[in-house]
Amino acid sequence: MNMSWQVNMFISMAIIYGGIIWCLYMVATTKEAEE
Amino acid sequence: MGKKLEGNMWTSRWGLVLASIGMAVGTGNIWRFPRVSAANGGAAFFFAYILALFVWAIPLLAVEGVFGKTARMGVIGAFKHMCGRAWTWVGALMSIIVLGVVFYYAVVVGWCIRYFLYAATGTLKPGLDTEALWKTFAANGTMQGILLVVVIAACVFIASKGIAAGLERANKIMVPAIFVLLIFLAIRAAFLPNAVKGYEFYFTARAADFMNPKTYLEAFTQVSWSTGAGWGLFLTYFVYVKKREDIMLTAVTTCFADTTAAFTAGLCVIPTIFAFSPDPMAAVKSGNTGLAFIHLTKLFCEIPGGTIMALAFFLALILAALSSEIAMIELGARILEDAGWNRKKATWGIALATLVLGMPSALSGTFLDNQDWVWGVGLMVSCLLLGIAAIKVGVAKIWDEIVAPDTVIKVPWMFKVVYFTPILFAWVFGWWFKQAISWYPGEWYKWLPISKYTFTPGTMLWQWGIAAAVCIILNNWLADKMTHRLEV
Repeated sequence: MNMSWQVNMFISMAIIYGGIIWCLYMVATTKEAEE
Repeated sequence: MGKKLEGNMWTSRWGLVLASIGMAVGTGNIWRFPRVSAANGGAAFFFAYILALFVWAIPLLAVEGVFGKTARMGVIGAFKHMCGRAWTWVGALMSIIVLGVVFYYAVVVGWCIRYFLYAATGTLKPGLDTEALWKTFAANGTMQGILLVVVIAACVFIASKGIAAGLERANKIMVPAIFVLLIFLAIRAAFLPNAVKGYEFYFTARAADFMNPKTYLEAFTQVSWSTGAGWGLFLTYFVYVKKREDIMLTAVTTCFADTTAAFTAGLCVIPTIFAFSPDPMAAVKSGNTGLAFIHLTKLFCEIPGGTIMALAFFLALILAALSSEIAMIELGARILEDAGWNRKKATWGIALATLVLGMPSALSGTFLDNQDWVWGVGLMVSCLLLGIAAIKVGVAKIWDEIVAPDTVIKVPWMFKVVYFTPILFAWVFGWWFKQAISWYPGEWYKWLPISKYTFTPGTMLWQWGIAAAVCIILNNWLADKMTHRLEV
């Protein structure tokens, strides 16, 4: 479990920044509520 | 006999999403997450935090969205509508807990404004004794009172304009600005000498930290306080959504944006401390205000380009705090509108209450600490009440009939984990309560005088108990008052 801090940094950034980019992409591209 | 939804709703999905992010991102993201993360195992804390996001924050926010969108009423009316008349008091108790926070949080916004002004007027110079500066300011009740009035005036100005012209427009400016400022600060921090030591500390994971229950408990607590799950603010914002708005997507986006802000703040704060602070651990363990107003301010005085960093840092704090404070004011205003008040009167009513009930916190740091303790921890109780309410209504039924038809995130377990809310609450709260009792051996149940028993479990239990008793006594009266739903 003692991964290097660089690997942890990469994984953390991938989860957070990847996650938010996916969310914003979905908000922008999925059909907005009609009414 | 309420107003029509049309003309009182978010004009676009982005308006709702940005306002929800503004609600969630507060000072805790900037000055608490980096500190707690660094002090509790860095990377291990981060992964525990992500777990808490999925099993605690996202499902609870989604429940709030369901209550707001279905009931079309604020917190009190929503509980009455969703769970029955006998549950009105539960919504009232949740409201008291959140309004307990709003009254002192307005004072905290004032602190950020004062420190921004210190940076803007050249007070932050090399050699400044920042501890003395903080103590002098903290003891100046008049200045804090003035700042409280300024903060409330700004909130009323925005909230009284309504959803589209007030909250949506303000958040469309404030929220992107917060992220731009945090990214600027993180990039600037990356170029400081020895910044790499900060990254190393921030991202190091040890097996022992993964096995330590404290890592998970701190992560759950931080998630509760940071995302706004269980506060009723997301519920209030969902009163004004379109009929087929995607609840899950908005909840997930809010949580990830909130974590992005906190994580990015850590990329600024931790390297800055490790680059220049003679004792980084003392800074990390110095509490929220100690970190921001004493240690970081000291570094901003000393480092090249520190004034610009200070301006960006305190401006980010102001915007983050203000966008959350407005949401809390809106929560109160919505309740009064449900009782038949018009928006202007409702906003002024809450503003006046904030001024009167926030003043003791402005004048006394001890009282503010006590209120932070009582209502801050009370938010966990608020989460429990919401989780129980969802179970009473029927978690599977809510998913099938309300959430699933309108969401692109068709992952039932992400919502249905709300079943575990009572168990998670018992675990987190039980552990924490056991710790709290040991801080005051033999006296943990005492609460008066507040100056002596500021942080006892007793002060919390008494104040919660009094609030709950008042809500139960007023249950029927409140249920009769909550009649003005927004008409869809």
